[in-house]
Amino acid sequence: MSTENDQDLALTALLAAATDVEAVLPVSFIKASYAIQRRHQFNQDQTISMHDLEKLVEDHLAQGEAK
Amino acid sequence: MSVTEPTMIGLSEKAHALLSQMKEDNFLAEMADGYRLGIGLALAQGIEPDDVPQRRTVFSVATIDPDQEIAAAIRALIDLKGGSVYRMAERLADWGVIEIAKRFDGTPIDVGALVPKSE
Amino acid sequence: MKLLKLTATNFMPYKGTMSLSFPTSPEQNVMLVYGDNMRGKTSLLNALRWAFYGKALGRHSRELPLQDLINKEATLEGDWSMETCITFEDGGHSYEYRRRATKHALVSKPSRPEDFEISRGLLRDGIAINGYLIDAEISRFAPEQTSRFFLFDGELLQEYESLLIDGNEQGRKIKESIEQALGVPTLIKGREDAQTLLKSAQKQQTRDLEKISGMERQVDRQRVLQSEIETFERDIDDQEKQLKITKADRALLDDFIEATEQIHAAKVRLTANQENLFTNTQTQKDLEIQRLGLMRDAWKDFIRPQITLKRDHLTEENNKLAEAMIRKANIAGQIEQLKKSLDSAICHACGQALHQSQRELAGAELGRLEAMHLGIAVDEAARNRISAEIRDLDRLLKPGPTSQIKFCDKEISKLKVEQTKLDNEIERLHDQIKGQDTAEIARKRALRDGLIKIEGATEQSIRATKAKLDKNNKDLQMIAKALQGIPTARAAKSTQIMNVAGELERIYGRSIDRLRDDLKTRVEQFASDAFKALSTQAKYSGLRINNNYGLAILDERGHEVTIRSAGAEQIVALSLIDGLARAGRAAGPIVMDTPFGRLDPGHRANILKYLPTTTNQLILFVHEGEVARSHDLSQISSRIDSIYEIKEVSTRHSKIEKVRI
Repeated sequence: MSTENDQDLALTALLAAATDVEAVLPVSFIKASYAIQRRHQFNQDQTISMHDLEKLVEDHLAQGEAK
Repeated sequence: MSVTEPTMIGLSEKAHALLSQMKEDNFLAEMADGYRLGIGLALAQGIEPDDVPQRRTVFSVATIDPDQEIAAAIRALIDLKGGSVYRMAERLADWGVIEIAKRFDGTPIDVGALVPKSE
Repeated sequence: MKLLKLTATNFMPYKGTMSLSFPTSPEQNVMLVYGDNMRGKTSLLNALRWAFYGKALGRHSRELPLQDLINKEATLEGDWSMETCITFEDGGHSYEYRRRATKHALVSKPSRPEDFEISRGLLRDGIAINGYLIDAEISRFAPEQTSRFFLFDGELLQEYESLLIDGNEQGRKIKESIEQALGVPTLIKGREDAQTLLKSAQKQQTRDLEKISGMERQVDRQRVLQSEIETFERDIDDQEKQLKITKADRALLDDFIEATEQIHAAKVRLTANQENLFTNTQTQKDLEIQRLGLMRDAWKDFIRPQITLKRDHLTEENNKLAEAMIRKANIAGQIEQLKKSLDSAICHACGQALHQSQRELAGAELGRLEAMHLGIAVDEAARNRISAEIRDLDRLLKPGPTSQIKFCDKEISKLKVEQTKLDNEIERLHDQIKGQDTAEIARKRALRDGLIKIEGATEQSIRATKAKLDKNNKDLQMIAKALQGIPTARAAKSTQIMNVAGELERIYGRSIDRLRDDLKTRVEQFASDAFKALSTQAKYSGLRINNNYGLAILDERGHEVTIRSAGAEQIVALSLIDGLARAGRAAGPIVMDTPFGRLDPGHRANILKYLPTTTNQLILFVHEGEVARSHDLSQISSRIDSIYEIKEVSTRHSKIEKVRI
């Protein structure tokens, strides 16, 4: 009864959508954001994924400045 | 010699009581209707009854026979021998009311049953 | 995941402890549990549901309160404890999940869920898992959101038909749970998080821009829009909460109304009958009055035969008199003629002179005629008198009222018969609704109707607020776009976060549609394959899916088959379930409660042959009428691991026994 199968489908759809909207965000960032959602998908506390996303965005912007 | 016709006619005490009861039981709209039915029944049966004993005056002739149809019917069917048509009507009514009360005895008057079969 | 054993104590009709061992061999992966209706099949499904999720569901998927789950006979004996234990395997690990409910010590007779203490424990490979991690662990392989596809209630099959009706409330709920089962929520959550981040960044940007001169107007505008957005979101949230409450209240009223439908119908019939009775008695009264009025002239009908005879006699007499008059007149005419002839000595007939002999003859004839004339007596007065009498009698012979009186009598008689019937029916209906509070029923119906209106108004209000919210968001986007052109604004970190969050939101938003489309295509393909295997109709080429996951059957030319039997609906629903299972998840156990109700033997045989191939464990709860042991099992006998039977011990106590195959 694993949900591995549908998670792959969701990620595939996400990456295809990024191409559709001509996203400038890197694929690694998008995958990382997805990994956060997947990790917390059944978590009762809905603020944890938000907190992790904020951290991810901060790190991404910091990397951009460093470059 | 022409006979003097009465202006008021009635029934015996017995027939009057029976007629009142029929009206009270709502078998008749008016007592006059039962009076006429009695006359009609007696005429149909060919009865020529005796005089009414201890008559109690109840109706005016104008109430019972406004168009003189009853008088016409009696004259057509009975040889009055010079007698009063309305006194005859009184006698017929008295007999007829008692007969109707006997036949229907506290139940509604079934007019259809009184009409001759050839009708 | 593979189920191993379920043990339950005092659960619903199962007093004491019962247990079921599930098939574990890949070749013999089918288990059947036979039970008549109302004996406990659905309770077994609920035992599994309660074991995994702490919930048991009744009709229309409503949660059953805890105090109603404990076996009634046990509670009468003072035993208010209930327990389930499910053992299973997944990913190479063995699990034991125990859940127990006992009444609080100070409560003598529990009447609500709060009167109970619930405890649970999950062992993985013999090691206890921390309480707060149990749900997350179970969700890894059996999330509650997907449970309707592995704990499958036959009643659901009828629910799937709702999917074909667009806008249907039930269909919308099922669509939501299908999308949940297929992973769409992950992306929806991703979009929500991106939106939250975006909003927070927008607010920060507003604060940052305040420090830049010349931006005051934009900042104010942004602040106003953000503040309005917050208000709209709060309003929407409140209204959605209110809507949920209203819908829940309405659902309860719907249940009550359904249960009391018969009473309400009886009350409606009773009122109608009472009105009819009133009309009946009124009509009878009117006819009585009419009848009495007609009695006035009925005396004439008594003497009709005599009067008719008398009239006939008078008419005869009148005719005789008339004849005599005519004859006398004729003779008088002849006399006149003869006299003229004699006087003039000319024949009145031929105009020639009369001879003496002719004159003598004419004289004799004249004498004879004069004698005849004298002999005829005409009584004019009598004739007039008779005519007057006949006129009098004609008045008496006009149609009398007796036939009308007879008509009234007949009608009254019919009405009396009808009245008796109405009286009896009214008495019967009174008995039926005796003790029922029909005023309360009427009140609840009116209340339910009112709630439907409120629901509609609330939904409309929510839509309107969402439209305003959408506009404000678009306006904010316009401002953000304009701000991007300003170097100082662009440099602000908040603007950078906004850009990232905004793009992420767009990506996730687009991905939801993509995933829905991809999944629908996959589900359609898998469901079509399943349908072709299950259907006995070789001409069908497959299925087509609509936006609500409803399926249309396609004929050999690819056209939609519009007329479908109840059995066909079941096959389509089962195909959808299989399609969802294959599209959304790997094979796992399927537990089905009475899925075969409306199917003919041909389809049943196909399903029984097909289902075991779609799953590692197939557990079916059926009754003999659905799957006859004598002939329906022959196709799958080699795959059957075990058969159980539910037997009634008493009305509140069933037990399960393994039987020989």
